Amino acid sequence: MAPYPCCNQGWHCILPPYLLEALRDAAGDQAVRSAAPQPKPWLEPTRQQSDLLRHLRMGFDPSMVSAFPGITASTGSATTSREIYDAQNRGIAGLPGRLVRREGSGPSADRSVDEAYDHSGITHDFFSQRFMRNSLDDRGLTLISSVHVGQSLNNAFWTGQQMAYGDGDGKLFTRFTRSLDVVAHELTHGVVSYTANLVYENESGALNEHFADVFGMLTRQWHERTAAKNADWLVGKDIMGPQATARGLRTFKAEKAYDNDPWFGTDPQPKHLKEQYRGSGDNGGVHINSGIPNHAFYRFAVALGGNAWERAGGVWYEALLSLPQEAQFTDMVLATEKTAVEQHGFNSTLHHTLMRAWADTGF
Amino acid sequence: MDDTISRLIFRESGGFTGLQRGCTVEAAALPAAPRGELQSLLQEPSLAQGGAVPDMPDMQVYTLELVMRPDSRAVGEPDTPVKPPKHRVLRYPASDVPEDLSELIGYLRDLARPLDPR
Repeated sequence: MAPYPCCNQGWHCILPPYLLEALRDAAGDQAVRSAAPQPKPWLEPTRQQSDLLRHLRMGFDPSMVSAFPGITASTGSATTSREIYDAQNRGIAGLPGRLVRREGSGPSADRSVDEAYDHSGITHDFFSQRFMRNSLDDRGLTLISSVHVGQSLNNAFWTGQQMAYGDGDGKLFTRFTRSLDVVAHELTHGVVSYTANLVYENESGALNEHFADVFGMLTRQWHERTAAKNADWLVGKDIMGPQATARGLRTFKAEKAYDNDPWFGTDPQPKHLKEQYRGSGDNGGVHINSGIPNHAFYRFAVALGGNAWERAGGVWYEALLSLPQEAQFTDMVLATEKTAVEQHGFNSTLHHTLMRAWADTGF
Repeated sequence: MDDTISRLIFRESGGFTGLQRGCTVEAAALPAAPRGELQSLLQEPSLAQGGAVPDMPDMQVYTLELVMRPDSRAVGEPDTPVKPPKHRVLRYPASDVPEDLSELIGYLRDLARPLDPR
């Protein structure tokens, strides 16, 4: 048998070869049969192969990984490609800096380097195991991270080619690599740039930030195995410095992450459409108005119960793949509804739960 | 004679944190090192232009608004209308603060307090 039968079918680019091989090897396993709509659908034409992919995305459970030895091997260090650089406190012009750790090499003496390495690997595995996504571009792109960017920089950002992490000022913030949800947030900006590529201003920009917050949060919940109802839903709690009095930077919950805080002020994020920020600051409120869909996602995930990275995450991931660059909030509502109906059926409990969450936030 | 900077309005915005913080400082109240950098700000063309701010997700920006007092000889002289202060706005990516402004920006960052984005 040819190593990858799909190569003769003209659609080999959609399901990565390692996954096809793992599925074929496990074809006798009940877990695979139950996950696939038809026997060996990966040998069928594009539509059925696409259906299988969608089915796996919505129903693939991390606990099933043990039934797929090939997937475990392929989505771990075997296919993850990471490079960590030391920017030596230089800025964007100096990126990426000096290579200090690459895939497979041992830990360094630098915590920032090792955190960037470990957290980008976890994020890669999350997207790979949950959504069958092979790195940011779905083609195995090397994850490039630079640490020690700028002088006491209170920030992390995605340049379009790589992640960049500041050390924090040591007062309000510590190093930004310390937080898994921060690293996963920045990597998700990379995923967004290779998918919907949402324009970074106004509502499309707020959706860009929203997806980064959602998949950042889901990566951490997945890694910590925390169910939706037990999760803290706080963004950036692990980068708070010794002088900070806030618990985190943003929260998906209805409450404010901080209120009348001496250093941060009052959390400006709205949780309902009627409170939407209409100003021009922050690129039209990309970090502000993301609070509205963030809260809708939270309500949806908690009402569904179980793990947010499973059904709720599956709906959101498929919606991301379908949105146009200039998507507005209403486009997001429609995209998630379309996905929910496709995955779980019209008038299904999940469909109703989703629309209730959107209605509760003003849509 | 050149205009002199009388006041600084500093703001940090954008970035992963989404925080908006800032402060307003009288130039005369600056400590020696930041004041020295401020004085060189308008004389050094590379600094006076501000920095290129790339359009990237989570880009944090420092904005420095300089309030300048017009030539002191013209102010208050008989038959000469008092000129309004001029404003000049410079922007720098937080990751790329020029080394020649590091003391000034560091001082302003320490003074910055929360701003209401709304």
